Amino acid sequence: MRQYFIFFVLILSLLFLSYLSLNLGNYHVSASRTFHLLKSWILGQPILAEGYDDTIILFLRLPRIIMVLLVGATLGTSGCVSQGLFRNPLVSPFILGISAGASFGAAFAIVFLPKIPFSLDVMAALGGFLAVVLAYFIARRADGFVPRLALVLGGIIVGSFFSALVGILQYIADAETQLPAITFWMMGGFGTIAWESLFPAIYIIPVCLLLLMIFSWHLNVLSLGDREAMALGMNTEKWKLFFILLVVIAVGCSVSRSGVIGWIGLIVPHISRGLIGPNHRDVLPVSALIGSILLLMADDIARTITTGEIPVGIITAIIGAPFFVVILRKRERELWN
Amino acid sequence: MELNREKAMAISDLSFAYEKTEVLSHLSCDFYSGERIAVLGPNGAGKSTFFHIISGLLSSYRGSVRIAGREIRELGRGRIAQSLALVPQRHEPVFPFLTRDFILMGRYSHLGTLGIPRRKDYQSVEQAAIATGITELLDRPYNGLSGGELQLVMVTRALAQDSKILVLDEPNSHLDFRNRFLILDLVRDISKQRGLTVLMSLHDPNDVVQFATRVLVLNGGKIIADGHPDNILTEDLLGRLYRVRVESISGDNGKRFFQPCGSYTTKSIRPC
Repeated sequence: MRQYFIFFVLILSLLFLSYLSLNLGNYHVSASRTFHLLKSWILGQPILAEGYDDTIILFLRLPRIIMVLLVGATLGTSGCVSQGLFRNPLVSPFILGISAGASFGAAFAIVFLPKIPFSLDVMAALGGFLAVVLAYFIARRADGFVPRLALVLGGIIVGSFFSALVGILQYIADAETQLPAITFWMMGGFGTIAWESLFPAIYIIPVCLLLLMIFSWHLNVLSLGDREAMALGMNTEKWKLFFILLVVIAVGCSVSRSGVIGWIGLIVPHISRGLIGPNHRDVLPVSALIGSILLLMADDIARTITTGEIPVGIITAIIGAPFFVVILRKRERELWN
Repeated sequence: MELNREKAMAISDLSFAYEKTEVLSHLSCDFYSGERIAVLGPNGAGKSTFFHIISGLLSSYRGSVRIAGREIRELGRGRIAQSLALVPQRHEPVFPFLTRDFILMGRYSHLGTLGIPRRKDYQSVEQAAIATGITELLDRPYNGLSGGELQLVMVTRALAQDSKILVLDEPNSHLDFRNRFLILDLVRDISKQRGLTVLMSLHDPNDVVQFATRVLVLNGGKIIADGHPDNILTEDLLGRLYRVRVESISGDNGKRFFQPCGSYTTKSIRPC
């Protein structure tokens, strides 16, 4: 009962906040006008523009909000999956070096492939994927077993290696144009999102998240540790690979569009567990909702607090870090005992 | 009772080595249904390795381990878990699952690919909790339980697994005086009711006398004695096994109790 109530409240808040975000921004559009535009767009009616408002609402803000929701849901869900997988509540979805790998891919595209359309997105996704594959094979033992601690270590190694490569690229990048582009991308943001940049993420991400949620009960067993999960009858290597792959694909898709956005994936699972308990069947969908809500709030702040735009990664870090301290204090016992 | 006994597990010529160090060498023994077998031996005798192999967690052994006639490394994990449940030596809670949800994970090998528990799985949990008397713990987070309660929950999870063989790796080694007794008493009663075969490693010979129908004495990776505790356990054997002098005391109803009474200094065992 309590569960249904939580889901109901979260979905309502998400819808309300999305509508509010659509209406919010430096270019003022009245609430009723926003509603009218949205309604006409959904029903496929002809739209009569007043000034630029149809462009602003339907071609700038709407795709941007959809992307924010997708990325927020991805970060929340995959943060949860990562923490369950690594039996550690202090882990984020970037634990396997995916952020460093994606940054390298993006920087590479900015420096060497500036003319090719979508090169940045594709290279960032590939870089993230490559980093995780490397971490996985560093950790993999000769007998096919992949210990989780070794995976974390593999992630650290690969992460710092790719960070160094990004450093090299920043060093040789053109200081007037390329260097700011790399820096800006690495701080994360949704400033450049348009309808065409939603594809194929808008298909891939929901499928990945849905699969994660459908099979989430396995994560409960997996979170007991390899030996116990095996003794309970689980093919642990198969399921670890399954969850890692889905997380990498979803996070890769997100990161390639939005840049590296920290803290959401770390904090959201804690809030969700506090709300609904640790059962992954409940926590995963709740994390998706809360991840979307928080990232949407952060993005609203990022694009309205000044006349320009602040990278959203800065907002999530500035709010996220102190917030995490509060969570740590409150849930100390659960984390350290 | 001794007639028509069904073989629950058959082990022949089992050896295992970590790298070059041989941990188990050429073990052979058969376990029959309904037996309560205690494995006794000093630290490092190979008890845990032995338990990991027969639970299917280590497959790089030589020799043969058969459950219901089938070689264990050829069975899938799910099939092994359906026929054998392991209570591990230690369990460190990470996430504060409800005790009910935690015990439900014992049903894993009975769930489908989606891994979604059904009504009958919840019923198994309920029944197992009634058997171990922990129904009032079911709706509490299991990371807040005491050591004794947690061990009961672990046994409950193993029962919910609905397997014919129960393997307990040092089930009472970190429990207090009362719980050390209670957990073994409970396991004995349940194994009698359900006809389970129980294998447990124990550190106290007195527990073996009280709870086992058979004792397997392991030392240096070899079985050095196998049989009914009354026949096997003597001051002499325990003295040699643990390298201490041991005396035995007879209780009111003829039960024997062992206790160490001085270090083992020479090759012979001096009387206490």
